[in-house]
Formats: sequence, structure tokens, C-alpha cells
Amino acid sequence: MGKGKPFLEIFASALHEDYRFPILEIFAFLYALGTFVFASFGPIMTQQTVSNESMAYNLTASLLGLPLFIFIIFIFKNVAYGLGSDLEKGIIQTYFSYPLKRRGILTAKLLSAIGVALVLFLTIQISALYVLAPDIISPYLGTVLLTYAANLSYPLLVAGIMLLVTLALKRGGLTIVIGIVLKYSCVRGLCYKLALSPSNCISNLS
Amino acid sequence: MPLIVAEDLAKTYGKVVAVNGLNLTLNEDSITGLIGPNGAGKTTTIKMILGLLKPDRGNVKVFGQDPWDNTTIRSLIGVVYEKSFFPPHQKTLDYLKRVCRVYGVAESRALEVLGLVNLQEAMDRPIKALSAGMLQKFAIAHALIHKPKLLIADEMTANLDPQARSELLDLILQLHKDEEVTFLLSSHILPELSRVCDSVAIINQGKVWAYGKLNELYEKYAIGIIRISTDNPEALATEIKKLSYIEKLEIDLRGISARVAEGMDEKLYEDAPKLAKKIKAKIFGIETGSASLEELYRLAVRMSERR
Repeated sequence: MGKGKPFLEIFASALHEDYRFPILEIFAFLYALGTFVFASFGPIMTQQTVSNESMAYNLTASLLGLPLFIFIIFIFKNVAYGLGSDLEKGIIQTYFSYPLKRRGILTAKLLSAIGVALVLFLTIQISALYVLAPDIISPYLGTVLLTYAANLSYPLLVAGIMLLVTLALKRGGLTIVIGIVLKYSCVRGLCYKLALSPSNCISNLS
Repeated sequence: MPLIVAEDLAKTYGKVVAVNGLNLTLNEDSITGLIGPNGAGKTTTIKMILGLLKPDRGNVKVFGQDPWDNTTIRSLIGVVYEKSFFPPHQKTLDYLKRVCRVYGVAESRALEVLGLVNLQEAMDRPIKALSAGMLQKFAIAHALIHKPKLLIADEMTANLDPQARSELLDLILQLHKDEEVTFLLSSHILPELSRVCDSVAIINQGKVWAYGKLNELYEKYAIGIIRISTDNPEALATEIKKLSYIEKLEIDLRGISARVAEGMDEKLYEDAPKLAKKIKAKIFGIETGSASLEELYRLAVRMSERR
């Protein structure tokens, strides 16, 4: 038996549970709303000497604020609540009886929990950038992607820590509380203290 | 060929010793009951056999292979957990069809297994809408979907009504006969196990204390149970109780049941009439009784607690 099919079936099953109607639709709407509502070219209006690269960065950064927050909520829901509850209730144990390696089962769950949220986020964001300013964005796609990578590193770090906490505790509710505390205190405080805030780094670069 | 060979298995959770030097060999084409009190180590043993837990010591082979993260073994085993959980929002038939695709079997098997457990009427219901008993039946259908060679069940009949229990036991016997499925059943309901099992392993304090074919074990442990029918059971029981080799004595409607120390049954055959004569009681009969699974279980648990 090939390994592909059990993986895809478990992935499909995880998708079915994580994105029941209308969860995906609501999050997609919030992403789109957050993206366009806060879109701003920023310094372009005041500083005539600003470079196109700076404008590409400013526009990208302006689109990130609210959708990034929604992305973190999405991850909290899927990793802490979704995966944590599956571990707590024993659904993962049921998956472990299927002929697929443990890493395959966890990858399928993570791909559903984080991968789909990430793809949705990036698809809406990059589409919006091309709608708003195709001429500015196209030449500086590298800068745009670097901005996303830098800004996503923080929520993905939180997601990684949450995943470890989830696997250790196997408790959905408790993990979500720890995740919120992590998000708003420890990691954030540490990042700021060490001047590792992704936006600061990019600002300094530009 | 033995399907499961566990040698000197040990597992601890912090300071709690769940399994301690457990040995078990499960032969092909058998129905074996794994019985023991709460906390005896049954579920931990099952989880190590399934490759869900790694033993701290010893080793376990299933179909001659290490079960840890072994996909080949998983496709040969069916599992029913004490509490089964499935993705709650999927419909029963849809989910079973998905499981068919996971195992690479025809999707028509999904309806077939629902029929085996009489759950066709619930095929369009989401899993979360199933009652506890229906969920247990669904778990059994789920475990049978790939026609496993070995089915391991932890409290398989929990939550089922008497009718469903009886049907399930018939199904176990039918699958064993027609499809040569080997079963390892963990349960507290001893009359059910004695109905279907040909072997039992009695486990307590993380060890197997008695294991073998049921008839052989009955024969072995029946030696010490002697039933005496008399017209004055209370008075005779008082006298018999004074004998040093009497381990346990009970009075029931059939008379006196006495468990004697090993090798002392002939002595009671001699002493009982003498004692009856002394108190002027009549003895209608003395016979060596056959042990029930429950008596066997109690004896093994007592043995384990003494050591």
C-alpha cells in the first residue's frame, strides 16, 4: 500500500474538522477585511524622496497588522484547541491505529492546522498587494517576501512553542491559556527587550 | 505461531509501577481474555502491544516484529479502545469510507461492517450524535474494516445493552470461526469472557499470574474446591473451619464450599464425615467442584497479593 493515500485521508479528515463551515469563510473574510481596511502607502504622501522599495515595504507592513493578529488567533484555535483537544480526547490515538507513521499523522494535522491558515493569509495578502500597487510590488517581491518572513517569524515561534506545550500537556483548554499568556507576556517581552521585534529589524534595514 | 510475544515487559509512570516483568505469549487462532482488577496493568500492556507506549524494560513482538510505529503491524491489527473517539463532525458512513481508503479496501466494506454491528440506520448521522452504545458499536465496526488478523479490545462490551452484548459475543465467535481472527479481549465482565474465550491471562500488579487454556486452568485450580451437602451446614461449617488446611469456607444454597490447601482435598474427604458424625449431622454428598472463571480470577488475584 502506498503511503500517500493514508496521509491524504488523514489530512482531509483534519481539514474537515478544523475548517467546518463557516470557520474558513469567516477567517477568510476577516483576513480580507483586515488587509484592505488598514492598507496605507504611508510615507509616500509626505516624503517625495522615498524609494519604491520603501514604499513596497510600507505598503506590505500596513497590510500586516490586523491579519497577523487574526492569523495568531487562527493558530491558537487550530493548534491549542484543535490538536490539543484531539490529543486529549484520543482522536490522535485512533489515527495512530492506521498504517501511517506517527510523523506522517502529526504532519497531516499540522499542515491542516498551520499550513492552511498560512496559505490563506499569504494568498489574500499578496493578491491584495497586486491589486493595490502592482507596479511597486512586482520589482520588489524579495522585499515583500522578506517582510512577511520577518513578521511571520514571531507568530510561528509562538505556534511552535504552543505545539510543544500541546504535545506535552495533551490538554486543549490549558494549552490555549498558556498560549495567550505566552503571546502577551513572556515571548513578546523577551523579543522587545532583546530588540528582536521583526518590524524593528525591517525598519532599521530600510 | 505466536502472534504476540511479550517478555519481561515493564513500564512505570513516575513512581507508579504499571507493568512489572510481564510475560505473555498469544497464539494464533485463539480468543484470549486479559483479566485483572482496576490498575492491574491491562491497558498499559495493550498499549505496549499496540506500539503506543515504549516499554521501559523487556520487549514485545507482534507478528514477529517490534510494534513501535510499525505500519505493517497496524494494517494487521484492529483495535477497540475502552473509550473510542473519532472526528465528531463526520458522518458515520463517510468516515468509515475514509478509513476504507486509508487501508486500501473497497468502500463497500464500510456498509458491510455497519451491518455487522446493526448500525445501518445511523449511517447518515454525525459521529457526535451517536449514543454511547452506538459509538461502541461504531468502534467495533471501525476495527473490523480491514479484516484484521488480530483484534485487540479493551472493554469491548462497555456501554452496550444486554442484547447488543450477546450479539457482539456471537459476532466474536463467528469471526473467529469463519475468518480465523485472533482476539485479545480485556474485560471485567467475567461471564462474557468465559462464554467466548478459550484462554485467559490473569494479570495483577503488572504481572501475569495465571495463563493458559481455560479448561486446563479450571482443572488445575478446581483441585482445592470441595462442595459438601448436608442437613446442618452451619454447624458442620463451624467444625470444618477449625481444620488447619481450610483456606476459605462459604455456605450457600447447595451446602458448604470449602477451598483447601493444595494437596489436602483427600484429607477433607476423610475428615468431613468424622466431623459430621461428631455433631450428628448428615452428609448427602461430597464432591470436587469445578471452578468458575470468577473463582479462578479471585484465586489468582489472591495469589498475587500474597507474594
